Amino acid sequence: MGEVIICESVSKIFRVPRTPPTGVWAGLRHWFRPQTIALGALDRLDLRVQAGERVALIGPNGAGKSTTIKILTGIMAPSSGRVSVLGRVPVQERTRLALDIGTVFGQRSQLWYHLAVRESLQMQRHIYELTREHYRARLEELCRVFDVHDLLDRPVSQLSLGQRMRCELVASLLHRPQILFLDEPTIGLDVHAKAAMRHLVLEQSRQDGMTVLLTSHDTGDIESLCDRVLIIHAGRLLIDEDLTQLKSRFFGKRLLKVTSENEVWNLEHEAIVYLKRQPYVAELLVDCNRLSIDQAIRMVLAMGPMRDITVSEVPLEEIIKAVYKEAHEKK
Amino acid sequence: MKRSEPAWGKYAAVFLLSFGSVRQRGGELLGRLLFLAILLFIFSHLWQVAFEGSAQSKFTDKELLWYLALTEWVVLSLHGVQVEMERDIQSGQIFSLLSKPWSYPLSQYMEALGHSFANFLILGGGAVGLAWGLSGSFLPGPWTFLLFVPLLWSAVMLGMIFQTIMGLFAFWMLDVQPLAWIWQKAIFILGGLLLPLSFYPDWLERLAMFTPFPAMLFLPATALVEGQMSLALEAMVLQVGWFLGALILVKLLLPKLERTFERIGG
Repeated sequence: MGEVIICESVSKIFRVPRTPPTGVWAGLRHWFRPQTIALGALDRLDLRVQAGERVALIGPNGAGKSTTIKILTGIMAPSSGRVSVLGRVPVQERTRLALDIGTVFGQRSQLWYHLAVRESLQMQRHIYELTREHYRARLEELCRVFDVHDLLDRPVSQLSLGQRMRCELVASLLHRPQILFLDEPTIGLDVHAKAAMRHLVLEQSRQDGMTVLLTSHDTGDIESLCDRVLIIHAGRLLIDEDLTQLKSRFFGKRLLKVTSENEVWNLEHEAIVYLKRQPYVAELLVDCNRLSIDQAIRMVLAMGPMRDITVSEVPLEEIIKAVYKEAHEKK
Repeated sequence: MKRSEPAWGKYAAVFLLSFGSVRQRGGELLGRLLFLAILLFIFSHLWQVAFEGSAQSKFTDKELLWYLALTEWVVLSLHGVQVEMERDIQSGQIFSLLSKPWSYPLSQYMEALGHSFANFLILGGGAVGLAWGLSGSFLPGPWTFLLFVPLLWSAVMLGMIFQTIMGLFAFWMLDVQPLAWIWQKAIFILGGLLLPLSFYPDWLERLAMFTPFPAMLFLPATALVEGQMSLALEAMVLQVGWFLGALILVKLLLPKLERTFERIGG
């Protein structure tokens, strides 16, 4: 199978009700003929995904990531444009398409809160119309991979978030979906649980040739899982690039926040850009492709005594801004 | 992956699952039973006093007690599906539910029906036992009871489909409590929850008969108390008619309401 997801010039406009006006007559008029504001969530989005690809859809809040996933899963209809997922028009064939796709919506659960995990998974078997034999074999396989054997007889309400997310993934993969949509799957998880989740999804995708479309604010999810990155902003596709290329341009940077005993900053290097330069406090953007982070720290320490140093990834918002600026300059 | 289970199997499974979850709802059911007991106890004494020496009434005090036990049995069996649908929509859980290969309203209806069926069985024992105990007689007669009691269950099924429709309005209104409030009052007044409609002024009784509520409460309960086959048939025909009407309403409303829901998506 070639392209499994096709979006051609897809737009989505939400009509949001305007705040009711004050005054009796104005209020009554608003009641009978409410005024709305048009909000564009997607603006002529073009997107194609090949079978087996693992694609990250990233962007700031309100960029249109979740709307894209909802349109691709048939939950919402686009205002215009053509959408095809596994050869089907999602909004017209939502129920049929749902048999071939899997979804994990962040902190929304698809398990029954008051039931044991096993009973919830048994329900998934009925919902996805699986035979008993296939269900048993697949459950056994997924329990081994996701290490959830011990959790099966526990009520969902008594699981930790990490344990529950592993069970959510088992539920999403039971029917061997051809495409897995992950909307913020690691939100709220600790470092170990995140790492486990990423590893398990990657393993399943490689084993079954499953296509993955991920939205996340966590660059770790993107780096570990995906080989292609789509950046959208204000509903438009800004960048469609191989992860290695994008990484070298943006993810290969680290943010160094330093508080010094000295008032003056005299550290200069071609791989270092000051994002903030104030007496005692500075934020340095280090290009790790040209200067390793330990070298940068050594150079900072060589300036004199320091009160505090923290190293962090470049916030996604900064990357988006940089990409947006770059796209704007190209115009 | 190979699929063989029929598509309706998922709805049957949802029904059985919610029916089986009665274990977790012991407290809630106990509360409903307690409410029923207090209500029947109060009204049995109230009507004894009110009907003392009165030979004019269309119903005796014992018939009224049985009537109340049967109507309350139906109303207390109804599961609050509209509240759950409202919660799904407000919390965003709806996105996960809509991404499944099923009809959302039907799955909600079947889940609520499972809860209601468990309520119906347990509250039925309570309602019949209390009415029998307080009135001192098994008024409907065992055969009439067995023959007509399915009408009370179909009344619950009819009530649940209207409550599901109410829940669907959460796509548009987000908060369906005002609708639920109107629904409760309409059942109370137009269904004849406490008193049979034959006690009402003629114009109100006639007006009520244009709504689905008498088919849920007044007609089946009166048919049982009086053992009237004609009333039972009327109840059955009206229930089927309203059920079909409600199904058509769902079919017409659902696409419109789902489209409205887009306002809060994204």
